[in-house]
Amino acid sequence: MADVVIRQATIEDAEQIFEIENMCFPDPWSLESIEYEFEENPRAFYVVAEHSGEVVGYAGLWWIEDEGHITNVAVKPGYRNRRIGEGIIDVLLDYTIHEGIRHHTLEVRRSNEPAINLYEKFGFQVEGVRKGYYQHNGEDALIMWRHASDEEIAEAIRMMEDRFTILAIESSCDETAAAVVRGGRTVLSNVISSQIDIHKAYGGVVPEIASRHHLDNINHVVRQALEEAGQAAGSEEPMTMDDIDAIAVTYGPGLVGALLIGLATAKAYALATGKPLIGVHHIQGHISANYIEHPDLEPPFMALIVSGGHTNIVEVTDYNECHVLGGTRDDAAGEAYDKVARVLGLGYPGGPLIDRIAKEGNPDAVEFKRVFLEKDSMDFSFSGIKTGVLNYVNSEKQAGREIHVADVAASFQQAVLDVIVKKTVDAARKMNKDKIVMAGGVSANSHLREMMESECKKHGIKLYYPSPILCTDNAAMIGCAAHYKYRAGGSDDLTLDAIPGLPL
Amino acid sequence: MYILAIETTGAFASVALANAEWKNSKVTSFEILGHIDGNDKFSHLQNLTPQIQQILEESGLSIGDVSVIAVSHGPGSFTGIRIGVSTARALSQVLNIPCAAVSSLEAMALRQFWDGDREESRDVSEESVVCPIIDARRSQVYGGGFKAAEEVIPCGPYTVEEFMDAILAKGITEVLFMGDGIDKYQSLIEDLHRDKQMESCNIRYADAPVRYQDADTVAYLGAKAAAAGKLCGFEQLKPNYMRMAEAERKLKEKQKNG
Repeated sequence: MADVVIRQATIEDAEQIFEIENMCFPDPWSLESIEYEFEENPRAFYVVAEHSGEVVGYAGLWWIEDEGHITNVAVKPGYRNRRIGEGIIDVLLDYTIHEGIRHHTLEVRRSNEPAINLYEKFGFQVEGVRKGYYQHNGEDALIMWRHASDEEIAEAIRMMEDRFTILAIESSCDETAAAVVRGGRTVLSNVISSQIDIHKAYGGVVPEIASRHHLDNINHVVRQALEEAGQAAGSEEPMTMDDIDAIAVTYGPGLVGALLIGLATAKAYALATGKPLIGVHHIQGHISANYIEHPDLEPPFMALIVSGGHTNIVEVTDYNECHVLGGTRDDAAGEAYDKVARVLGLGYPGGPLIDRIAKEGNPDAVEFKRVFLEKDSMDFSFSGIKTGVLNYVNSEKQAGREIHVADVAASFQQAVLDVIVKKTVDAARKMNKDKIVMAGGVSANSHLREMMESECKKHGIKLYYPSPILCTDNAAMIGCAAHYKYRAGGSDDLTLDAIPGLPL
Repeated sequence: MYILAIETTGAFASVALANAEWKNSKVTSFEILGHIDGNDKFSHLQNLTPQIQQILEESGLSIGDVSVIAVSHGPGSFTGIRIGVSTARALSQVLNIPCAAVSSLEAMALRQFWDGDREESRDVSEESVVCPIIDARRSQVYGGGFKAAEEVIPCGPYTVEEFMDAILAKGITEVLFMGDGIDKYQSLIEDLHRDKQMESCNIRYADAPVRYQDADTVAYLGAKAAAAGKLCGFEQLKPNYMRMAEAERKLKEKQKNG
């Protein structure tokens, strides 16, 4: 049957189906009934086998919850014994199982042994009899059922999840971002509109200005994400909301005025399309960036989240389950970088600027205090070192000495990273984790990566971190986190609110 | 044609659903089918979309039946403006329907000239100028003055004193104040009225039930905009803050001074 194509039937096929129906059955369906199936009956689903443009066989079923009632199966005389019937049933079962049908049933004449044999081959079994069912000769109908196996169901769910496509939105700080993510880890588009150049003039993110720009940008960013996703999926056309299965959005933590632009937009999309809404924790998103980068990565692991707003050590036990073991008691690491960069006159944002200039400096030039807090504490404090740098710079200036910016930057960075790396590796060892996952903007820091690599190697721990584009705030990571939340049954209603201090 | 109206620029949000027809630049019929007031102060983000869903359900309509989104785009609370505008934009983008950008001040003033479906005087004499004023903090308001549909004091940001001067300069004899600017500045208004010797100008304040923003008149101005061919796509729907961000103002000032 190499030259036979099996495809979903349309109304165009009705007349040819009617012809075969007449050739094969003593009490055939009328043309009107067949047309009704296509035009009116929302439960009906038909496939046909086509040979050189001619319909040579077909089968149909009625879709009732998770049951498929097969109405008729027929192959045109002259085309039998070519395994066409087998092909049709195979496609019909395969397709409908993947779309959610778990039980198939049909009636067959007691005397039609070839058909019964064929159905049995596909796993159908006789479960009942309708006495004298066929009107023209009073023959009995055997009622056969086929129940999908656990493996088939698992495979169907897996395939459904692989196709599940999420439009994700992120606007918690100063990046307006939208992405389309398929099957959790395949990024079809990842559009980020950064406001960093705007906020440079203010030496930091100004919430009101960030909110205004989010509003200006968000709809275009989403449109671009849909356009690029269409191309990535191999189409000339942009994706539309019809291609999207759910809407995901960051609902905290973050700047409330910034968060609410993404949320209001996502909620309106969900309202307008009736698609599920999935609220995502921003940090959960950062962690999930690693699932995108490393397809083999699975929980459990120890996570270090370092960014302008967060410094946390988090034990991740499952996709939707984690425990915060430690966090900063004052400034986030990225915040300390920004403040020190300002003191040193380097500009904004401080992270990449300090990282770059520190390469030319001596990390042992100035001794800044490493703050480890109480014994075994996994918390951080960076306000002391920030003040330390400020005091050092002031006292050097007062003494009339020139400040070697690269040395100060390198010494500051070393002091901060010594603490972060030690605490994270200690946490992993203490909790018996053989994997450390880094996330957040500061995880793009080259010196942090080097130090972490070498410490992890020493202790046989595998280190994961995302590429720079997935380290910054982006929506692909939100889509990925949303996928795993939704898979575990998690979604939100339209009352979803922005929570600036959302706990993990 | 069904118009969905959103008003989130004040302390309480409201949504309205109207059925309107227009022809030759005129609104020929207008009926409010549903109206929902938010009960919680400043919880617009949480409540707005559920309220839209509720108003549609109660009217037996679906979101796909809506032809125009009318939104009060400011002035008012910056956050409130953004919630309304971003919701309107997203609906417009997905449903592929146009928006009407409505002035919160004009819509507020209309409450005094409007009785259900007729645009006629309700609580004000012919001489009266209705002055909606929205608190903009530090003795400032976003305000304007309307005599029927005519804007006699241009809508804009004013200090309360500047606004009183504008009333004085126009020789207005009868003022009806509206808006949350009253709640904040009534005593300042009265002080200025006395100090500036404005005896010839009689001042009144709108009663609480008709003092603040409301989505019904936003829907009506949306119908008027549709009739006048002044609808826009989501790309053109912009917030009307009337004032730049504080940090931006300071930065500009600093740059100017040196």
